[in-house]
Amino acid sequence: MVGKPTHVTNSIRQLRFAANEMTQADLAERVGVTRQTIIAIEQGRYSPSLEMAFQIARAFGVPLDDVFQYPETDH
Amino acid sequence: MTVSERSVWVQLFVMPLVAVGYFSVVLSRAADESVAQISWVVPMIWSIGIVVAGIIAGTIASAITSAIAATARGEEPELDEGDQRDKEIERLGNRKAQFFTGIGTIAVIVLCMFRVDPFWIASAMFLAGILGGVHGAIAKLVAYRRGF
Amino acid sequence: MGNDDAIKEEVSFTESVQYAGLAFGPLAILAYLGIVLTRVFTDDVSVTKVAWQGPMLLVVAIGGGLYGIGYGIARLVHKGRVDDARDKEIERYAQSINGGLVGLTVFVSIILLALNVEPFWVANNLFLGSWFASFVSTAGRVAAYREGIPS
Repeated sequence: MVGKPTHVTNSIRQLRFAANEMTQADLAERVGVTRQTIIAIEQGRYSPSLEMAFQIARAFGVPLDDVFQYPETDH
Repeated sequence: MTVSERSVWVQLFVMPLVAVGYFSVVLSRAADESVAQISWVVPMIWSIGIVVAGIIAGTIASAITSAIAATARGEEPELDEGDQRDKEIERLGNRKAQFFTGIGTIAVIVLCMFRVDPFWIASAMFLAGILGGVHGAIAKLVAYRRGF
Repeated sequence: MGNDDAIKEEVSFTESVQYAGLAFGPLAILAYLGIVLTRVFTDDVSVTKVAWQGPMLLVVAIGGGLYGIGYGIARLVHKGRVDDARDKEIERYAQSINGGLVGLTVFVSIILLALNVEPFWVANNLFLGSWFASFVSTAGRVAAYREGIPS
């Protein structure tokens, strides 16, 4: 399987729409990355670093847990 | 210290020692024979073999002695192979080493263009490899101790 | 609608550089091989005696020069970020692929030297091997951009 099989999911798209319909480009600018990287994160093709994850949460003014979710697993 | 980190420390010592060994053997031969005659192949094979074997043996020895010392002190011996962090540091160090391999490759191609003796070419490549290895090992240890 | 999802996702600057590399890299190698093989036939010499040094330097100089100019222009024209953390991470991933293949090439070269072959083989092994490593790692970059870095 290609691509990081990360279990982390995110609500970035919903948060953007809720935040006055922030565009991907806007968010990218605030976080200091390219628009393509935001797209890749939203689509689960890229796992941001912890720092970047915090910066994204900060851009929305919400806690980390509101942006990124990790499933309850039994292992 | 994880076993991975021990291995890096061992590399840091083994590589320069073997390089010194190889060049002493081979350059002393150069003093006696013409360059084209020097049999460098056997020393090279031994050098590569000793580096590999030395790193494995040194790492095992280091792990065992520290485990014994820890048990003597009544502590848990630390024998973790290495985790995600160790893998990342390993990759970082190997990347940094490539700078020297790159220069070595170019140097070797240039030497080939001038039809220099295989002895010099192989020795140059060996030197580049050792320098890269040492540079990589130092980068890894800095990452272990100071973060990256 | 405040989302630009509807905009066709153009690729980032660094990613587009990779596509250019994949397209032009093989051209440079074909040019080199073309010149050398032509010389083998027209000069009627054995392969190892061919004057390969000139073509190699030429291809590297011209290829490298064109790449540099092209990249420089593209970079000046481009607005916005050139690379970010993800680009750097993908670059690191590609470097590890590249390093592995170059290491293999170097290993083969040492064996060739031990067998006392003509410098022609050693140099070409390194040249083509390095080029191949670069090509494979560039392909790896493209895969990483499109599907993510394999873990």
